[in-house]
Amino acid sequence: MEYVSPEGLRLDGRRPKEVRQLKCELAVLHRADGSAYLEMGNTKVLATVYGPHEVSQRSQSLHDRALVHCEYSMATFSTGERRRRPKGDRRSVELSLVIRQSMEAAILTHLLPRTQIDIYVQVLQADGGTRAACINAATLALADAGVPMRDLVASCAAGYLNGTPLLDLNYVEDSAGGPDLTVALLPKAEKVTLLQMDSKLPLDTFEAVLGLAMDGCKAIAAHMRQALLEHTRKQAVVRGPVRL
Amino acid sequence: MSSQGSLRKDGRTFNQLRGMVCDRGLLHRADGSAKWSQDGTSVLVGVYGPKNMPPKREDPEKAVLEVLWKPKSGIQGPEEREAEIILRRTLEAVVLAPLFPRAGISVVVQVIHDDGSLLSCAINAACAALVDAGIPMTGLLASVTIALAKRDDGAGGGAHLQLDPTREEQDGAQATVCLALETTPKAATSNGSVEGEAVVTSTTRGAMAIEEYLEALDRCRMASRTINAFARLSLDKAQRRLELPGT
Amino acid sequence: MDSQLEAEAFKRIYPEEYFQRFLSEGTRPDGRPLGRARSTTIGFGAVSTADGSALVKIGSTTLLAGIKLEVMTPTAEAPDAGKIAATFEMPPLCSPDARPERRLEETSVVVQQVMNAIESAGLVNTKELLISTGKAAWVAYLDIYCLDADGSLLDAALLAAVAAFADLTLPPVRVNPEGHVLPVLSGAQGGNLRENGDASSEVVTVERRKLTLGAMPWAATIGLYKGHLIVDPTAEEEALLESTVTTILDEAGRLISLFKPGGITAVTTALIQDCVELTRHRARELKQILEESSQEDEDEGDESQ
Repeated sequence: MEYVSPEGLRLDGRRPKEVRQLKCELAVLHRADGSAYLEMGNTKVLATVYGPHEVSQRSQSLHDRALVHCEYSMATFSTGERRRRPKGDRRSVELSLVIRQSMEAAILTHLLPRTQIDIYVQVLQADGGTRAACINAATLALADAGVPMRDLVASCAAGYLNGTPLLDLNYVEDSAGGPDLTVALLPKAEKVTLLQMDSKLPLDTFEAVLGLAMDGCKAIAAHMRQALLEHTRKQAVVRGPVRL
Repeated sequence: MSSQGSLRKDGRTFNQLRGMVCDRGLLHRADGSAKWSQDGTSVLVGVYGPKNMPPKREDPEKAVLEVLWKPKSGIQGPEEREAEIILRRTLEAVVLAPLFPRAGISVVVQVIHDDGSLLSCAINAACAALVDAGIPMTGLLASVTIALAKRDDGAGGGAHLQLDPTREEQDGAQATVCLALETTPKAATSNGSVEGEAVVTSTTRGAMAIEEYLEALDRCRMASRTINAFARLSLDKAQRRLELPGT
Repeated sequence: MDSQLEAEAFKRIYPEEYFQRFLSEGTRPDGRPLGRARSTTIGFGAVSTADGSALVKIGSTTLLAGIKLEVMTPTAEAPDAGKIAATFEMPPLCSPDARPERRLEETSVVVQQVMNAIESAGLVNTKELLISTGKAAWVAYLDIYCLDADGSLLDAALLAAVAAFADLTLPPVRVNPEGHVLPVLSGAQGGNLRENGDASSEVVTVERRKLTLGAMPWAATIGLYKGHLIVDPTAEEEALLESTVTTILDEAGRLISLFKPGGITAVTTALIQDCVELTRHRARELKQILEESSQEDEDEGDESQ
């Protein structure tokens, strides 16, 4: 099957190095401490952050830093086939762990000892790149909650089909069986907090695909930063000038 | 099922309740217990409390009620869980929980047989069990179910409201209403309180006209007086049994 | 700044007095009069992977309902009808009270009441879910997710379910005599059934269609507090209320459900009648909102084609 046409267009009309349309909205759920809604093309994800708050299980409290807890869940109607086990299955457990580790690297946990930060990510519609979308949404939600972080965590996936490195695969491209590389990056420091790949790639192609994914992350980070600034500006207007 | 003026399948009139039997104090290890039967429908309730509650679940201002509903066979399903919640909230309306801060009162409901009006029977049984346990309450609960039989001949009036339906009548009805009424001067209106029976719990199934619902409510009021009278009689008998000297 | 801090502190320490101060003026902390519900919006087709979906917001309460269709063999008792199976989830993100370990009460109650309302009103005729008598029928899995729990969950859940069914489109399928259901392929691959290896010419095609919905149920939850009737309470108000009554009416004014699960206050007939009146008003509002949103959705659909 042809994933990249001879003119260089993919199945959904994008160019190989184009990320899907990104849409973010902050503070969408008012009961959560922080929340964000993110769309990457047709993948729609909702992330909420509760915390920092007291650790629910005393035995797990850490004396020198915050405990980060993450839960990933997919709505039963989010995929083509109805999912019977929205959470608790192996994939969800793995993704919860992956997201937690990526975010833990960025959160300044030593500033909040003996507390717990809960990150809940709910996938409402899945069209490839859910891992990346969840990490991006979690970043925005953490920023909305005011959790101190050393940098934004931006994530993007890239693959290699028909001899071309492709950025931000959708579901159809993902299920083609080619390699799928997901990267999460701290853009300012250019440090990678997550690197996962399915299938296999020769090393030189791997470098190209990795480079492409990192570029994608930087582009997404710029977009998220913009969205955060907009949101903060609106908040400042609503709350009036800060008095010292 | 039946036309105007005639009797129901089991020989009752439309406004007639089934024969009620209430046995108290059956479970020796429970603080209170009662088995309430309305002919074929029978429910056994055991009450444990006021008793210690684990610190996580206690409430510093009042007792915490918990209800466990066990179906006749099989494990709990969504209907049983919903019934637990409805029953618990119903009992919370009458139990004087602030008298027992940080305590817990457990109400265990065991369905023995279901021949219609199950929730009503359970509410009546639970109330009797609470009385048997000596838990102070603001008033007595009386619960009645009413079935609206499907209109077959367009007969008007209240001819099609059947009190205390059997399983067959309940399943074949166009709609059913289950009401729990409390008899105290604590009822709420928009302009002050009023003496009489007030609705603590209402749950319906099927569609009906609002007038039919209000008519059913009136019937339930009348029926609740009968049920309360019976409950007091049964309590009297149980008390007298306790007081009889050993000789 | 100081007075705002004082008001916040008063609200935390004396929540009942705080609430009563507003009630005595005939209003509520969010400024609404007692009889008014929060602004309600319905978004159809929020999730394109679902066969039918709707996102409903009543104030901050946000619920998403999605319907996914699967094929099943009809039961022996009802060989010409399909089935609806509903679930209601309150994931931990919807409220600080929803912990993953402990299921909230509302989950059991809301799903039962929503199914009860749909069945009692006759919203969906399960016979329309039939594909082939005795051999294949659709089962509609209605999954309702609470994304933000800010009171009156049952109202929003029912509205989301009704809107999702209104949005639902049954996809076109082909059925062969053995009862195997095959999707209809679009474009050049569809159309020539006989060439596709289905040797028998008895393959029936069932067209893409929407359900013809019956009476729609509309719910209004009303809280009772010291003789006041409070329509569409928020989560903060619900914590203080003595009891709630959820009345469900259909457009013809029939009572679909009157649900009062206990609670400290018992009510009289007059109060019930007041609740019914308030619900009638709310039902008209909701019906209008659904129609307007549905019209907008159609217009958008036409534009994009």
